[in-house]
Amino acid sequence: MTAIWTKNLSKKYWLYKKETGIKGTLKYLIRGEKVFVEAIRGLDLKVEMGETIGLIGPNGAGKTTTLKILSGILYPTSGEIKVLGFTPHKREKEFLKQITFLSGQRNHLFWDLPAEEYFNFCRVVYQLPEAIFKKNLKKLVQLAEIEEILHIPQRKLSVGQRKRCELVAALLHDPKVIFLDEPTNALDLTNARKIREFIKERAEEGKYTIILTSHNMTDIEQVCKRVVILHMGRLVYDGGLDELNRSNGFKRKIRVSFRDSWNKEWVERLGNVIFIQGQEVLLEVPPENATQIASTLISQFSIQDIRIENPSLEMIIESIYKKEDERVFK
Amino acid sequence: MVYRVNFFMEILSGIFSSLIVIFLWMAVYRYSHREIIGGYSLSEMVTYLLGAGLINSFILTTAENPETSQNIQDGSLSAYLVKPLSPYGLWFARDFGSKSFFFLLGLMGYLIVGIFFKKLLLPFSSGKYLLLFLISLFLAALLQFLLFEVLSLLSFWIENTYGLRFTMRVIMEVAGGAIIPLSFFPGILQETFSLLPFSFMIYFPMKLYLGKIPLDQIASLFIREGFWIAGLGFLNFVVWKKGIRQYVSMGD
Repeated sequence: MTAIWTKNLSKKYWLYKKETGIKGTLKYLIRGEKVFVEAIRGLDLKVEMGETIGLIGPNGAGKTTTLKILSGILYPTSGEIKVLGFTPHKREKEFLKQITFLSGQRNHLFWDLPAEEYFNFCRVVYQLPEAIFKKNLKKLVQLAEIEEILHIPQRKLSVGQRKRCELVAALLHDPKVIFLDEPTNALDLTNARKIREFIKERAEEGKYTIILTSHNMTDIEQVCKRVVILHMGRLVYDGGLDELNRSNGFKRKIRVSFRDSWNKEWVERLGNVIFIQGQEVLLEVPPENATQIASTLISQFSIQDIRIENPSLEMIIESIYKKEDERVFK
Repeated sequence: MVYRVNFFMEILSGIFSSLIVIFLWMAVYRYSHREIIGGYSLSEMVTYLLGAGLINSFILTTAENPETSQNIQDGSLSAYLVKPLSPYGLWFARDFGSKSFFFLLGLMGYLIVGIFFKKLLLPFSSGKYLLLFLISLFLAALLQFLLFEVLSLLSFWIENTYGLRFTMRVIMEVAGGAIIPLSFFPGILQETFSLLPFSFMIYFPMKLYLGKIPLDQIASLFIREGFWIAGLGFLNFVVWKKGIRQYVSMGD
């Protein structure tokens, strides 16, 4: 079953530009310069129920705008859109009860009140029966490890603690579709890991459709099987994370340390030598031959250590951004 | 805590300015040697001014409620939009809550002040008028909310609506009859004021309390107020619907 479907989705809006200095301010008072922003340009997207998708792209690519349109916060300028069969911006109750939107940037909880108060607010807003509310709360609180901070006003908590409370609040009504906008943004390693594991657990249950944006590739690698890459409001890649890793002609690197003497010319024939430092050699090889070349090396020479290095996801993605930049600005 | 101090200061400063105006009028009555000025006896005038002060304490203090425009401007509205609740309803409920709170606070303050003017204060003219007075208070609060909320909703298009709301508040204070009864103004101003909705905020309820409106005119005035409320309600609805269409959710 399809959870999310968009066709030729676009979003444009106007902003007023303000120049610096007194002159700019005065000018702005009379008539600011209008700037036209095309946040999304013709996005086609189809997400099945139970899928977990990583939405990535450089700043300003339209990731957050996409999430906001899918969750009904923003009206699209043109195009078609269905989420769980509903049109999001109509904001029907039955739709809103089945989704959630969590932003890593923003505080949703009541600043002066403990998390518990906000959970109760959610119970009323989502009209949750007492028993279900208690059951969900208990499970989520345990998972997010926030038992001890339930009664402390939000402003006295650290960012990481607050984010974990927010995650619990966002999932209390057991939403089917979960939108997460940079959930691990501004978190330390431990808190980021906790949030990630939390999301991963949800994702693996297979009941939930999760769309996640992040600049942290660890989030994407650990949680998502499929990634969608946006660049300046356009979709530039939609597919499996594994294919992304394999494709794009990225060379593998073999780092080898020889124990005894070795034949330089022989090694140079195997691949492109990047550097030689005494007994250590870094060799660049086509991805499809990497394992074969490594085993050849092992059988031919006495070897102390050998390692095949994959390009990092960061590297692959950055090269895609760069390629797109070049294409657009040419 | 800071908030609470702020509340009390608002009410207190309101009471102070009421007192100054009352003392001024007492002096005017004393030195002019007239029983009745502009159709008001001294007792009626003091009652009017204290009542106006009380109404002010919950209508004027909440008039600039910045929450709606803040929610729109900084994008915190988004958090409400993804929940099965109506942001407009939430704003209305919050405003109603703070008005009730300020009403109770003002009532306490003005009851204490009232003790000192016990001899001059008039009771309501009849039970019927008291009921009408209470209804008109409720409608005044509703009218005030709608008038200012529509300005706050303009935040969808303009960056700061504080100036608009401040100006409206000043106009409301004068044209609503908070300073003196509207019948004291020159003819042309009176005519202008009668075309505006502000007189329903203070002047109309206080005249009801004092029984200064003939019973046969009351219905038509309530109907006019009803038209204002319906019209402004519709305007709010239209502006909200149009605004939310082009909401850009700033800040993340």
